[in-house]
Amino acid sequence: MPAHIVRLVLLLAAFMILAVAARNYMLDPSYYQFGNYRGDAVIELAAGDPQFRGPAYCRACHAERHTEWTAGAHRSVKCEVCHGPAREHPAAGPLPKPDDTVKLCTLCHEAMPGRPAAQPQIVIAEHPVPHDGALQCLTCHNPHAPKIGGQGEPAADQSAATPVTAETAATAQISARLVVLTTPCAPCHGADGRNASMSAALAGNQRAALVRKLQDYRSGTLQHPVMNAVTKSLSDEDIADLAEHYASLPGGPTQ
Amino acid sequence: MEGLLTAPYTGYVYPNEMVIPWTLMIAIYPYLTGLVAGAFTVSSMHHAFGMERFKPVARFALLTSLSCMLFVPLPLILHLGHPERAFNAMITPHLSSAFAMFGFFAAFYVVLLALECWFAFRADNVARARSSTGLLRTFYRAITLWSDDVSTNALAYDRKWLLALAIIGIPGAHGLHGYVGFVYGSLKSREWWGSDMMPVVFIFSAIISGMALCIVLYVIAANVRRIKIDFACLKGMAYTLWGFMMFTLLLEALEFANLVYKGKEGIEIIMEYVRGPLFVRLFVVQFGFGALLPIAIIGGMIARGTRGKAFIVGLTISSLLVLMSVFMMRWNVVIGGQEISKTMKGLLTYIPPLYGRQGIIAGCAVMVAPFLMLWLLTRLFPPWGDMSQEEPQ
Amino acid sequence: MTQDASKDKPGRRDFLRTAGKALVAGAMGGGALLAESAAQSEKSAADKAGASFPTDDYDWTEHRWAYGIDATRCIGCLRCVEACKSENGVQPDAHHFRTWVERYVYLEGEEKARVDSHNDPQNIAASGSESEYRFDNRYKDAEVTKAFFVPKMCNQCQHPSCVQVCPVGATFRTEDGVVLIDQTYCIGCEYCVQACPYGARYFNEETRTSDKCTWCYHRITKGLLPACVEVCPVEARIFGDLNDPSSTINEFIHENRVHVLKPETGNAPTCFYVGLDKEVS
Repeated sequence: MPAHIVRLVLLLAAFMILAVAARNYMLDPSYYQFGNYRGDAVIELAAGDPQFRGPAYCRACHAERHTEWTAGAHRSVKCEVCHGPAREHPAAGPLPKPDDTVKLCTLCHEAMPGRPAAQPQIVIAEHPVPHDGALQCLTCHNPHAPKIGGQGEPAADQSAATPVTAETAATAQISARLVVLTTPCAPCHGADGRNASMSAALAGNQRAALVRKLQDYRSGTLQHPVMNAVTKSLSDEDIADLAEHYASLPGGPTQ
Repeated sequence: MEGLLTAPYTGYVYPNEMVIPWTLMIAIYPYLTGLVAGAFTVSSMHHAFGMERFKPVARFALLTSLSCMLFVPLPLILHLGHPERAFNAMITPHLSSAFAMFGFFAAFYVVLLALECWFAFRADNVARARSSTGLLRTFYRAITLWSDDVSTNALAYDRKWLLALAIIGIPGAHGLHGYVGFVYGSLKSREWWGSDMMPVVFIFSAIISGMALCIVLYVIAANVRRIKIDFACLKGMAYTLWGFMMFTLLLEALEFANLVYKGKEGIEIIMEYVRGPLFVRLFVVQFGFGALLPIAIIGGMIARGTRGKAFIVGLTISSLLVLMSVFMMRWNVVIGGQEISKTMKGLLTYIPPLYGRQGIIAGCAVMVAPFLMLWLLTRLFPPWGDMSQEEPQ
Repeated sequence: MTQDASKDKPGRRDFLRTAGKALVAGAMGGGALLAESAAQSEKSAADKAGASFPTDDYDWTEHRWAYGIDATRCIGCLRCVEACKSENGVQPDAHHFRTWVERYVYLEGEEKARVDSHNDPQNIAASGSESEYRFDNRYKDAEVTKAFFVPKMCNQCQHPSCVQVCPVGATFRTEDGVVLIDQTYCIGCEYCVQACPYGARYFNEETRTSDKCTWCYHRITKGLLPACVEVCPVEARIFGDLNDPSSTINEFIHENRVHVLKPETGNAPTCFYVGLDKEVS
């Protein structure tokens, strides 16, 4: 056997042994524990801190709000959906209150092809009346109990507005023209004009006062985003008819 | 600095597909392993099959194969997110992964190739050890393992080892490159890749790229050294290149035809891609200029019995076209596959960056490096038969 | 040059001796490797018989997680996408997602659906930035014959292609059915990213490894729901334990005709869909 062959073989053998030794040295002890992976990796991956804590966590300090929320139509929308993950709150300070609700709420509620019909949807620039697009949802809606017209089970018809139907119109003995005119008023003031929970009760007020109010809103003397929007396109005759209608209704707020 | 390059796209692609994962480096890598396999095939024609005709180029082809092989890991290292962890694939190889098996295959093959070179040049190195001085002498002494035995007995051992290594090396080299084809062919996530023929196509295009490279380098070397080209050898290489080229073209065409004929779901986007962004790259460059033209040139020269300088020029041009076409094939497979979205509803466009470790400049460096290494190796271990003191055969 | 007349040719015996030595050396190396693996699996057997893994309060052998997606309920609000990013620290841009939602819209006279998601420039413009997510309303005035949303994510397959191809064993399937990634071991070769038929995996430039949805493993091992399930306001996402007969996921699977995405791949996802369509891939 020539010397160079012997030396070559020994060199190769030494290399192999060195390679195996290096491999064993570098092998992580938890590898092959459960399979072809590092067992410790599972422990590490299970160890992270959750960022979202869930409504039960919020209830500890925000019990009243939590109760209001669970009874409302938004009970499937958890706190952190709008307020962001709780993380270290309260230790790290308060969570943000969303200020641009047009941006936030329309993520779910903008009318969009593809959204199931069961989802309450609005055309932003037309809800509740045509406006320039900057009308904040919070103006009328309580985000924790958003359905207008009281708490409780959301009705099957998910429309936010409580329309004046032919029935209620007949009961109130008003004309078809007034049905149209009072449609935007009903959601906040109630079909009978007596809802004071969100706005002024209209029913039974002085006719002249109502006329003046409507004129002031139309001209912008009085500022209110919804009232300015709904009165913008009213004619003098419309204002006169509306004022007369509400003045004639049995008065007194119900709330 | 590497910026994140989200690919321009049309149609619908998955949001996570916006950055093309396998880049220029991953197109270069199979090209290099292809050159390794092809050059090795050229050298095996003499060392394994005993064809005397290829003796002049045989050892040079070995060095070419080795030079390319030494740089094969480089594009991979440049691509990895954690190159320092690359050895994990050898410490804890996941046996179901083609990449893991490659690690061992490549290690085995590079040792085999180095050994074959060692045996092929041993006698010459012994002679050089004797005739050099200083650092060079130490180098040659070390490389010969401090043995100066060139007796008939020793040389006979060398011959046997050389033959064994050359024979084992053939499946070795082709397995090394064929596995790359397997990586693509075995993936079911991309229809452009998932094909049973992929390993075969890769191997045959590798062979022609290696042969073409040996031809080009042999011609260049002969010109540089001002030595007369061995025409029998060159013609032999031309014939083999020509034959393999036609078969390769047939395989590639078959694979494409198979895809179109089956017309499975998603074929519309594939055809849109082929007729659109891929048309020039595939039909004009790869098939047209890169395959049909060289076949025509070499075939024409053989038919007309072209000799002398005209033959050399025609062959060299053809070989350069083949080299370009095989690179285009790698590009069209690797990048092309990723430009067709997994949604089968969209197409992306890969634009390689200029800078960065996966950029064009880095790519050029990776392609040039093996030739610098080859130059160095031919200086240290001149492979030319006319300069050999003592040859194993 | 030495001339040894008695040894003109190498004998077969000599060759065999050399080959034998080489084989022994190789066998020694190989044997050492195998012995090490054997030792490791012995150790693991002992471990298996021992304490609760991976935490003291959670034993992964007791659970078999599965996920349900009701695409008929999804409203495309994308709270899940943002919650996932907050929970898991995913890059706040439009091309790294552990979960995403696709919108499919059929217009009048068209047979193919138009599909878009969060990488669409118009949607990015509608949301205002790449770190906020919103579908624009480009079809509001169009003649839409059918439209719906499909949430997507890692399907946590039972025969995951990604696990099959990982060269180093950095991605693997746990005993409770979740495919995870060992971020300290992954070499970032992106073979798994290529192998996934669903586009669920991506390259994380910060960790320079692969990444994907983990079903919020750090949450489910504490009895919580994944973040996406937690925030979905319309119960389009369902998560639960198949081992628990009364779980919501079992109810979902038993009361619906459920599908999986790309069943022809043979990956056997554990993410079950209701409400898929011919165009959903």
